Amino acid sequence: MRYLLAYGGENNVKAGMLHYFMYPSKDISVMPKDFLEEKEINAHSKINEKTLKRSIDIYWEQYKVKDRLK
Amino acid sequence: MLRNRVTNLLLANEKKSLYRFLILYIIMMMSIISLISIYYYQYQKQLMMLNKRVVLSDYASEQARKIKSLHFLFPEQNVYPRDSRFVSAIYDLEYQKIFSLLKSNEINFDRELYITKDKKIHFIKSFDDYYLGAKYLILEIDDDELWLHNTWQNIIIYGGFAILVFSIIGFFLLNLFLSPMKTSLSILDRFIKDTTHELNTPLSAILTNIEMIDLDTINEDNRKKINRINIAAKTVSVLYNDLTYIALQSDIYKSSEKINLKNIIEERVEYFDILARSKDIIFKLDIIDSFLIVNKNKFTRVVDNLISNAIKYNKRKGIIDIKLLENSLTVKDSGIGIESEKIQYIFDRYSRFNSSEGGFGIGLSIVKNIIDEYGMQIDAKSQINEGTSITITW
Repeated sequence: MRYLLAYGGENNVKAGMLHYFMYPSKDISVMPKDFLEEKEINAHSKINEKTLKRSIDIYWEQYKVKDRLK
Repeated sequence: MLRNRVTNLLLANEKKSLYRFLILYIIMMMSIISLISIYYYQYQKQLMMLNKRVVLSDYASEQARKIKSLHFLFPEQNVYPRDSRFVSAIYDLEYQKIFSLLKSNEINFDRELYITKDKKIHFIKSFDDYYLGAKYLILEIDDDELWLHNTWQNIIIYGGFAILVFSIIGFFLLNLFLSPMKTSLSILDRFIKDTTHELNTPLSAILTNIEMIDLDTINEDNRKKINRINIAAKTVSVLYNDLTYIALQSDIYKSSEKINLKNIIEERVEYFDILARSKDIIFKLDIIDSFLIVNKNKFTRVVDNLISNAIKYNKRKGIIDIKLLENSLTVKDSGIGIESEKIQYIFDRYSRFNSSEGGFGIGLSIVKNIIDEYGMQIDAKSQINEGTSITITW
């Protein structure tokens, strides 16, 4: 929901997530400042871009708001 | 102001000018009222939209708070907040629908407030943060069209009142416009009326005395002079009779009887023969017995005017064809003719197309007047330098 709050639409969220996983940085993280001060961010992912994209798609389908509101 | 028949009759071409003025006035009046109505309608619509904007803006803020709360409770709570006063929808920044309760799917993201074709008012609020992934919150309410009803009611009431006021002003303007025309017509009528009274006695004396002169006892030179006096007196006599018909409308024009038109034509041809001979014009008669129930004096005016016009506008050594059938009379001359665009005006009073000939231009107006009175038809055909033909049918 943090990505959704920060990036809005599906394509934006997916592109934002992909960019973060490929180039992780505190500056572009959607996590709160306090959290980032306490904990280190994950290292650069070793998963290739294609797999990452597929994983993000699965994540989106799992957590998207669309079609889940009543 | 004098009131008589002529005063009340406006000439046809002047009537046309009046109609043009009226049409122009009505178009101007309707344009002004329409423009004001359009402006008023737009103003009322804007006013209504302004009021709705205030209300819907409050609703939207309220709904936004509920969506924000739901964002943090999702997915444990997934029931979209509803309100009895409106329905709403949320769309993401890629204009993709996230959830919608809207009845109208006609969404215009470029505008903040608008009315859809299916009479719904949409208000679009844009979020800074994407709660539930939403960029746009769209609120929808029914357009009850009460404003439209009131607006139309006001346009009809005030528009009707404006038409009434403009019509009254138009009526006064029209009277102002007609006043000089009526005055000049009434002066002319008064002149004709006064002149007519004074003409009868001297004219009768001249005609009677000419008839009494024994032409055999006077020399050739004097006989020619007498003939010229006779022609002139008869021309004045025709004019006198026309003026009497117009101005006096005496009892001699009221009773109807069965007449043989053939007899009248023969009698009048003989009467005008001396006038025709003065221009070497010959009559060609093709006439049969034809009976009508009309006033003899009135129909004599018709025949007199047709013949005297045919003589007046004929060329020297010309021909006048008179054809009388069972239900039609045609008088055709071989004269100068009338231009086709002017032929429609020949029956107008005081219209004259040849200033070289005398007259007031009332002859054919009288003919038309009498023909119309008896429900007959009159038709004029003319060709320049070939002649004019006038046909009466009944």
